[in-house]
Order: sequence, then C-alpha cells, then structure tokens
Amino acid sequence: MIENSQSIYYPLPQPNEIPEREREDAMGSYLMMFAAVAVALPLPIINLVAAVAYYMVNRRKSRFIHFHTLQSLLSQIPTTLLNWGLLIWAAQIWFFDHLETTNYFWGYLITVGLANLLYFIFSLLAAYYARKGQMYYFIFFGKFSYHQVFSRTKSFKYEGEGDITIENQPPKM
Amino acid sequence: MSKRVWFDFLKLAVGFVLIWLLFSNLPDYLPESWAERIAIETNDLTLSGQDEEKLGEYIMENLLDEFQLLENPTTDSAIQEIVNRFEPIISNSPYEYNIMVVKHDQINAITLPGGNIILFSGLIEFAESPEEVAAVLAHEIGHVEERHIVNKLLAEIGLTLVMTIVTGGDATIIHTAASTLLSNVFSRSQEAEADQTGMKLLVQAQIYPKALGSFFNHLNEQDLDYNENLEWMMTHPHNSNRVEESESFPIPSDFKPIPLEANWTRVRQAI
Repeated sequence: MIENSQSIYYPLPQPNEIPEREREDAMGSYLMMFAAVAVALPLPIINLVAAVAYYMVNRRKSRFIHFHTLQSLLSQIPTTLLNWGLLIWAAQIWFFDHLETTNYFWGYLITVGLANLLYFIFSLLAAYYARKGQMYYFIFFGKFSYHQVFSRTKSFKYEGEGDITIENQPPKM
Repeated sequence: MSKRVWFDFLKLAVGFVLIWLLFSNLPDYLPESWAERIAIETNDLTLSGQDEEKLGEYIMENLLDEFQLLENPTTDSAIQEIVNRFEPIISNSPYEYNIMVVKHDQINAITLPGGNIILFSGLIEFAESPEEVAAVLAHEIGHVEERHIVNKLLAEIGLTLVMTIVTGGDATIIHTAASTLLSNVFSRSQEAEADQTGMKLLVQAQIYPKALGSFFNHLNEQDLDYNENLEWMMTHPHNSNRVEESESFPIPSDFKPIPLEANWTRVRQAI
C-alpha cells in the first residue's frame, strides 16, 4: 500500500508546511472530546454530537485537520456504542434484575473501562502529535481516515482550493 | 481500500470479545487461595444461628403487633399435617421452624430470619388444595435454608443496623427490617433456588412438586399476576418457566405420593 501510495494518495503535508493554526485545530478535535465526555457522562451521546459538529466545522480547512478530526470522530463511535451498551445493561439490572449481576456484566464493565482508558491515552498521544504537525494513526481508524482524506479518488474541496479564477498574470516579456 | 484495513477492524472486535470473556471468567482462573479469601470476606457478612434467631424473634414480635394470629383448630390441624410431613426432613436443618397463620386477606406468606414463617389466611383461602399450601411453605423453607432472608436484610439495611436489632435494637429499626421483609422481593436466582429446594423437600415429603406449578397456574387463571398482594411470588415475569420447572422436576422412580388428608373445603370455610 505504501509503495503505490504516491500515485493513489495526495502527498502528506510535512510539519514545516503546516501552520500553527491548523495544528491547533487538529489537536482540538481530540482535546474537546474530553470536555464533551465530562458533560455527557450520564448520557454518552453528547460527546459524539460535539465530535460531529467539530468535524463539520473544521473539515474543509485542510487535509491535515480533516484527517485528525475524522479520526477523532470515527474512533469515538465504538466507545460511545460500548458505553451505551453498558448504560442500558446497568439500567436493566437496576430496574428489572434487582441489582443481580452476572460475571459477564462485570467482565463487560471492566473491558469497556479499559477500552475507554486506552481511547483516552491514544487520544492524548494523537493530540500531542497533531500539535507537532505530525500524523498519528490509530489502529483501523487511522488507515480508514487516511484513505478517506488523502485518496485522490475523493473529490473534496478544501478552503483555498479549486474554483480559483486566475486574473493576475505576469507581464508579457 | 485494502482488506488489511478491515482486518484491523476485525482484530479490534475479536480482541474486545476475547478480553470481555477473559474478565468474565476470571474468577475461575484465580488461584484457590484468592478465591478462598474472597469467600471468607463474603461470609463475614453473615450472622450466627443464634443472632439470626434473635433477629427473627424481634421482627416477629413487631409484626404480630400488626397482625392477629388465626386461632382455628381446623386450620391449625391442616397446617400441622403439612408441617408433620416436612418434620423428618427438616429436623436436620440448623433452623427450628415456627409456622404461624395470621388473619389477613392478602395472598401472602412472610419468611423471617431464624425459620419463622407466617402464612396469611388469604393464601389458605385462595389455595385449591393442601398440597398447594405445602408447596408454598416448601418454597418459603427454601428461602430460609438458602439464607436468602438474612442476606436480603444485610444487603438492604446493612450489617450495622442488623446487629443493632440483635443486640436489643430500637423499635424504628426493627420496624424498618420488618417492612423490608414484608416486601418479599427476592432476585430471580434466589426465587429459582428456593423453588428447587422447595421441590426437593416436597418430593422427600411425598408430595407432588407439581403442586407449586399448580399454585402459579391458579394465580395466572385468576389474572392476579401483577396484584401487589402477590408480589412475594410474582416478582418476575417468568412464572411460566417456573410452572414448567415444577412440571419437569425429576421425580424418583419409586416416588409414591401420599395425599394430605385435610378436608380442604372445611379448612377454607373455617377461615
């Protein structure tokens, strides 16, 4: 995939080409999730809504920002679903099972807790690298986002790209 | 997009499931010494037989202030006949059973700590045969034998309050404990456990375990499923399973049921 990537994919922006503002916006996609999670703890959906909003607002700014916001958004989907599963299961135990739990519930609780912890750690790492203007790929979500953003088959317009009418011309010498 | 990307997704999903299963079955992999330590810590939250008896006495005194004992020779002898059937089997139990009938229209039975069981006259009137009352009584004995009553009290009011009652207690706390037991809400597994223990007892007492299912059916026929009076047995929406379990309960080949002799029509009329 890497060998052929030059022809199939747009070249990756290098840290010295990425303006400070873009790095901060890319980093923000990971960091704003923490605030959203804190707000959304009772109902783990607000973080996803916030991630979608952040993605929609920032995705056209540049490929670098698009990649990081998409990776942040996509990687939140499974954790959100897992957290929802936990919430529904716990509510069922609370309301219908008279607090009777099974080993599968406790196993799920621990595994989802670990998944959230890993997600937290990798998001912090990704935010750190984004701030440095570097790419950071999560397992699966990194490759998927890279393909969606950098593939030449995707016709996605970024701010300042396309529809440029050339009016200023050099003098005829 | 490369298949390898989707393979990564598969790895994530499989990894999650494997870790989930690992944690779910972790107790099985713990060294025995750890498991024993956990068991000891859990057992710390139980009472001695003597404390349980005292607890039962105090709560029963409190409840008997609210309910009037039914003193009726016909009913007494019918209940005694059932108790006599169980007697040889439960004589090995650490509990000394004390079964009473109180005047109340509710179709209910309350089990108190220390082997005290209170049957409501409403339940006796509702039952279609002495075998059905025997099945209910066996189920309640099941709760006692499996220590569900004490565990329920410990879980709901805590060890400190339970010990306050045992050591002389104050009336308010005893009343709280009595109210907790009146609600009679047990977990699904505890109900199933009490059913199983009760049905074993019925078989040993030469009474068909189907009597328990027959009682549930009788309740269902009367469409009383969600009547709060029946909360003690109708806690969970799986009565059909419980009926099936009682009907398919394994009966030894040499099982010979001996019908209870009480004239049930007279017993019901006497209430």
